[in-house]
Amino acid sequence: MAMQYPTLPASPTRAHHARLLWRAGFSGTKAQIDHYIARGLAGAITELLNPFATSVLVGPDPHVGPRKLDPLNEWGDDALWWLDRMVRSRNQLVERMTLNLHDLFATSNAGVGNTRHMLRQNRLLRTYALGNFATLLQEITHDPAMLLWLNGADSSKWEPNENYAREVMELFCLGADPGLEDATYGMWQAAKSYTQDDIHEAARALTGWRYNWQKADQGTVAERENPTFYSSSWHDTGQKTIFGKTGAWTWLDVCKLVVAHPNHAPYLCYTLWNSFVPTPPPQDAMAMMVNNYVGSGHSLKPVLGVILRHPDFYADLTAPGLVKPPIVFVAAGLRMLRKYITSNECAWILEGMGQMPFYPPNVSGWRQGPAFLNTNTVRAYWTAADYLLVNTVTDPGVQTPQAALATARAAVSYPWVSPETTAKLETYAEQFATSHAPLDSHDRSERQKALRGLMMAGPDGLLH
Amino acid sequence: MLARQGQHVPIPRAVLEGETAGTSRRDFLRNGAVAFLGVYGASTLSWGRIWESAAANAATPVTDPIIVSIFLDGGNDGINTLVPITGANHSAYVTKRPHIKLDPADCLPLAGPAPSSDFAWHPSAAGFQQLYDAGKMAVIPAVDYQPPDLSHFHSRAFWQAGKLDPNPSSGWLGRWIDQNGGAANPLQAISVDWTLDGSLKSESNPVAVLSSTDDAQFWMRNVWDSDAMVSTLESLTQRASANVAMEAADAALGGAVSIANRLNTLGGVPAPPAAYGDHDFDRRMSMLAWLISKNVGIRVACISFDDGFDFHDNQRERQAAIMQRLPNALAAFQADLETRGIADRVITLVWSEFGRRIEDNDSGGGGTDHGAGGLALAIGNGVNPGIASEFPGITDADLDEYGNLKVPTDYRQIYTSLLGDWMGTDPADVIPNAGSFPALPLVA
Repeated sequence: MAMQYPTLPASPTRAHHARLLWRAGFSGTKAQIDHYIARGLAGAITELLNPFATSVLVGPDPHVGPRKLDPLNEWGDDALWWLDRMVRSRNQLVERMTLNLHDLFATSNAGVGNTRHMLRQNRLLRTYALGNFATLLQEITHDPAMLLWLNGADSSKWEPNENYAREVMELFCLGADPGLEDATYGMWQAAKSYTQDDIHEAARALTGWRYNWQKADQGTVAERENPTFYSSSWHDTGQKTIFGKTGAWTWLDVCKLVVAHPNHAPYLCYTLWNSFVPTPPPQDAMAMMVNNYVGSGHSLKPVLGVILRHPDFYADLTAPGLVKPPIVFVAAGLRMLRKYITSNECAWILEGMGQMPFYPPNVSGWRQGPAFLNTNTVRAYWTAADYLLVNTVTDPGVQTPQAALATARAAVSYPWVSPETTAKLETYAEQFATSHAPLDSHDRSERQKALRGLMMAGPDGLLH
Repeated sequence: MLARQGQHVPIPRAVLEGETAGTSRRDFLRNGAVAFLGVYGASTLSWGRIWESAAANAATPVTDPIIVSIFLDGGNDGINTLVPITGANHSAYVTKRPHIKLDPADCLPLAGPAPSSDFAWHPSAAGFQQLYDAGKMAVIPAVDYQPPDLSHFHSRAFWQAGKLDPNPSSGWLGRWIDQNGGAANPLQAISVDWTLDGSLKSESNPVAVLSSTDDAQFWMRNVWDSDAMVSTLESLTQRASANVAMEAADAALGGAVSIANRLNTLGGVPAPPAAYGDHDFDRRMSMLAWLISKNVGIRVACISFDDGFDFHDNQRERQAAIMQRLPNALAAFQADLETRGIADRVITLVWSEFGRRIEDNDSGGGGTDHGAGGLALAIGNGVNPGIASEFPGITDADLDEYGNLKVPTDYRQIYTSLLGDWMGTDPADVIPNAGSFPALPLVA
């Protein structure tokens, strides 16, 4: 089946490339956007979809004061380890998709209680970030973190636990909201939705995976990383009927049956689209995504190819409508200010902002979009900007208010700022000059700090 | 549910195809989405009114009843909080808890208007004793839902939602505010925490999250003229928002700046008139008492305790450390409200997502696994003091097949009691099948 893609905008501007790097990655400096502009929009998308195999991380290694990161033992270092990858990786889409998949297969260390397993799952998600979803589903079904998180390791033929069977259908692969039918133009069909019986039968088929607690504690490094094993004697070998098909199904069959379910492709494509575009997918996008996903044998890359090329991805360049998740805000802030991980402050900042990596609030992931914003979290975004700006502001010398604003914009790598906001920032810069005249060195630095903070964590700065 | 709650709702296809006269698809998405986000939309238009109405409130005596909900995260062990000290229950207690049993001689008796010889408080829980003996506490000793599934996540979600829905779109107090609150004042429903308590999640009326009155201010390091910066920040939010996300950003920031400004007009938080401890929970409780006294329109508030209750191991030490703080903080809060003359308006509900296994384990000197039938407390001048519901007992014959307390009381019975008898509203507005959850004698 031939892959189908939308036609790219005829004359892409800098704003198109900036949008691409914001939503398919974590934004960047002017030079980093120039890098993609030099390739043209099509070339930039091609580079993002075809990750580098070597020299992936660019820039200084992360550290917390004098010590190296110790993700297994130090609080917050796991988050910092991943944040560093988001900041330094040349494979920006891989990291952004790893984050999206972490949100989809939302597994929390609060339930797993094993950072080694969480990092292993993170590597798994990264490996398949642009890869084959059917294979990823098989891998994550017996991933140790997932087996602990959704009770797969407690499930046996004597007492099958429905937790994973339910979530693999409801949240990960098939969806349960009848509204999906209209949202996907009838590609997803409520009439074909799974039932409680399907969940129960799938739970029986999924039995057999176990977890060796002793090896998890005292085994070799490989055993501690993955102490799971399959026990035929725990597996229910009987006949099961799942989605109307009867057989002596195993865990592998469940993975295959779920991916073959007619609601899977539309659900997954619809969900992926929503990670990148704030408006629902139009019919042509849904059709192309599903075509490419099924036609490629369930590869994510040609689905992402549709999303990154679609006109809706580049819509509203002058009024972006996607809320920056806190992790994206912080990673992008570091990149745009040319900073790296040198302390653990970003870990507590992320916690305060409500998005600690490896700790999604529950199995349905973070409540995305506007739900990230409340009267307390916007204050935490503000604190994050204040922290990120530390040691970046110096006295720019005597300047007109307009020049001061231009200096501030360049210093924070030209984020999107609406004309209305620009006018109000100019007014601030002018009035500050009047009320503090004559400006001394501190005043000029203060004005810079405030202008940069207002651009980063004012209302425009929360959107991308 | 959709995987991405809060982003957008599926739109009927008829509308997408332009069948609604005079509405373009884009307009519809915009309007539909804004209506969906009425929480923000309503507040952006009328921040000024918030403080006008608050000022009006301040001028007349305020008598509206308030619910404060305090969450003990992790599943508190009710049995070692309120210890069975007599008869078969005590014998079973001694037998089943060789590692962590408490000596009745050290425990604190239940006296006052509703004395009980069946139980005594944890030896460190002097604050509970004080509140109980003063006739300001109702005890619900074995409360949960049927069948209890012992999951932190599910149980907490169910308690917060007021229904057995693991991924609820609203909380029980949020629905109450949707029904009984206003479109203008986010402080009417406040999480005194970092993040919004699920109980307060609303669908139409605004709610606030405020962790600290200090954290509320929008200062930045090295910016001395904060007023100029913050008034500019506020002005940036005052515009016709182009889309849902911008609306949310403008409203949340506008609301936060507005709350910060409002707090500035209240002056600094004075030293509390009661003997709080010096932990974060104490700080937030005293802050809440002060905010209530300032008549900013609070009707429902949530606070979570600042330490966890998941005592799988080393319970003796861990629970004692908490019992040295939590009961005192609650007693201090009550004393604070009384000193401020607002104690008649507040009932404080203390709850945890479940209780713990009756038999202890030997992990780290003794712990307990997840169980059923937790302990909840209602505190205030308005409660009907005493043991308010059945305790099913802990002998082998009393327990369920997993060795857990049976569940004679559903947590929604607490909610129907408070919503009906305390707030004076119909519980059926907020709790599905409210009629199945008859009120307990909690409210005097």
